[in-house]
Amino acid sequence: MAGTKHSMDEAREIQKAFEKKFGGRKGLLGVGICLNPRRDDLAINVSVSRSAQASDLPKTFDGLDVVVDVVGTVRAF
Amino acid sequence: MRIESALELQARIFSQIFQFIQLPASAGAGRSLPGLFLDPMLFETKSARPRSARRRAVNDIALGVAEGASGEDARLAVLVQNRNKLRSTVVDDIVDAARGEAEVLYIGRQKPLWTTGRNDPIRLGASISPTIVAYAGTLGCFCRDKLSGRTGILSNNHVLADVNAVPVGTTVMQPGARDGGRPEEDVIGELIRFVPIQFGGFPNLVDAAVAGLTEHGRKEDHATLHDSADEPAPAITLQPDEPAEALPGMTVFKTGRTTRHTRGRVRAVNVNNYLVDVGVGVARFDSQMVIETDMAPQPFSRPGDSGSLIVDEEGRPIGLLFAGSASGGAGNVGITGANLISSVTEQLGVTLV
Repeated sequence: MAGTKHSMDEAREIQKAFEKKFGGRKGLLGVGICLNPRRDDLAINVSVSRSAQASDLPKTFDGLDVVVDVVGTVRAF
Repeated sequence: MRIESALELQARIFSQIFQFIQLPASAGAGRSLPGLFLDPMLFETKSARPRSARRRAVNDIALGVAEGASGEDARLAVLVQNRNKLRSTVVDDIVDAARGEAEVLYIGRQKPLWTTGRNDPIRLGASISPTIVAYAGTLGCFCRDKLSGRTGILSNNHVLADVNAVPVGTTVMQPGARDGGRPEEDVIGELIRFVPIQFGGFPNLVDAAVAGLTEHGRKEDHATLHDSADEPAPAITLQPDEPAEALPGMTVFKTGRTTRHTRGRVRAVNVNNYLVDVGVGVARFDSQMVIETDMAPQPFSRPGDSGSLIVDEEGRPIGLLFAGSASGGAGNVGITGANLISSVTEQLGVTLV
């Protein structure tokens, strides 16, 4: 986590803009902040139930990677 | 043999050798399935004067379906818990009934998980539930209710209050109902308060509830997260008054009723519009964290682990486990959702102790 290019506060602002643009989309189970695949910067994390639901999301947004996790159904444990 | 034949063989052995009785509704329904044959002895536990159980030759023997030998699909598995039974006539009879297509395996005595048994001392991670439901969840940690000053236990709304449905004052037991808890002897507390889960797109921050401890006659261990061994040993010492912030990539731990002590990694933080099926509907949660396993193929959590306290390597509280999925994340074994512990203590009005 140390030494990411964007700070947590910057990532939160970008996440807000991302949620404003894509948040209401059907099939999105959650939008958060994770590490990018190279683990050298933060990224937008999108959870969906099926991969098709994220097929038209951008690969990057305002300088952050968009990382999609396909997680099936989330239910109370 | 084919798998269907192995199942029909199981049913025939349950009927003829185990002398189980067929569920009346299923008699004459065509194919015989092993689950439809029941042990008449198990009906006796609730009678007013239970007869003492006879020693039976079939005790300590379970039947299953194993991979077949020499190209066959399946063969009967005979799972024996008692070593003395390995060379008994009843096992021979079962193998004969399968015409030799059987594998006899010694599996030893099957013990319940420590988390699902009656804990004395009462430990973090143990099974709990209200006395009026049929499920079990997890005791997260001990806490103090700021309003009443009472010492209590922290878990989820959907564990202690069955999603807004259990009346305040309802007794809570350890172990929980699903794990054989009995209202007459296992009550340890009563529901004080829950944060209602709201629907219709309202952004919930927590799935949390607190039960006040009542006189229970057991010791309490407030400070230790135990490991997964059958005889649990201390794994992490909790530092209840030093909550930590979750960051992506951070290593975390929990001890819970179903998967016991597991290690995970924070996958994502500040997760908003996190949609969770809580049984009676889908609720939205904001400011959540998502955790993936760090010990694949073992998942970080499974149903029944709800209410577990999530801590960092130093034992500092981070989150309250409440949801998850069966796929996705590291190893594709599912992800886990948790509330921030700071939101839980603030919204519920408790401090961890």
